[in-house]
Amino acid sequence: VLDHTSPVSDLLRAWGQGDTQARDDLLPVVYAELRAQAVRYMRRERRDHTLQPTALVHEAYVRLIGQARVSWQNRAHFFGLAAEMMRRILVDHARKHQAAKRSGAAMRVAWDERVGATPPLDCELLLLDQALAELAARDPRQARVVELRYFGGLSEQEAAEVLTVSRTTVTRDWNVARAWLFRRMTLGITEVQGE
Amino acid sequence: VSDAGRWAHVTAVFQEALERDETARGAYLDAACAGDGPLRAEVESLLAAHQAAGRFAEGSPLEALAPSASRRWASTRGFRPAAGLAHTRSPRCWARAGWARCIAHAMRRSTARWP
Repeated sequence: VLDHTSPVSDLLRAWGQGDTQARDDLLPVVYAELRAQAVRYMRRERRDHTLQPTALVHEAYVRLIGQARVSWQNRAHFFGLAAEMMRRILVDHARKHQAAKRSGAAMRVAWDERVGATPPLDCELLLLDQALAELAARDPRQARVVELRYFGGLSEQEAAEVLTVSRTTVTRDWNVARAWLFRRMTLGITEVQGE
Repeated sequence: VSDAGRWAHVTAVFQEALERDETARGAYLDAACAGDGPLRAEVESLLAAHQAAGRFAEGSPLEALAPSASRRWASTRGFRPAAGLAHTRSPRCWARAGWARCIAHAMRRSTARWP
């Protein structure tokens, strides 16, 4: 019988059995794999509107796990981790891009002075990342649903498996989280304070 | 009630309201928010945001990275500047500085107004 394992599937299995060190060991591997692919895609197909993180995350799974036998719980663990890494990769990328733009943009100083001293967020993605951190402070699961669905490109069903909740719960979390984030990003804080 | 408890309640009422059609919604909110004006205002504000959100956060985050994404995002949703944005020089300011910067600016202003 062939030994259907890979270093990554071994780590995944260990993590599934409660070994948190295994999760820490997985992080850089998944990050590097996803990042390499993301950079390749972004360079090649900048204007491709169909570019979805789903493809990157599923490809990374196939490349890292291959044919290894992995339980669905461990598979869910992988996708949960991959979504988190996708968010980090895209935010890192946006920050770097922003920093590069700022260093070469002396002519925009006048605008910057009018706007204020705080470095402006140039990118919708960075605004969303920040708003999402605020949402996580009030409801971690709702924020996690957005991370899985938007940054990881996971389907509702996949997100439900990662979080071990029903699909209906994912839909509901998504609806309210999206409304809150949209309002936060367009109007700022307009929430009516509770008593 | 703790902040988390309050938010859980807001979430539940929002969801119930969302699952009713427009005609039944008012009556539901009358009953669910009876005597709690702030709850009603918060839920109605979220329902309005849900309506206005269009395809927000449903595209690819890789697209959102593109420098033109913010402007596209605004235009495809028929976004109109909110109160905090009224003074900014749109659309010229959007074109020059990027829509998201204007939003960030407005966010800082609105934060100042609602401490």
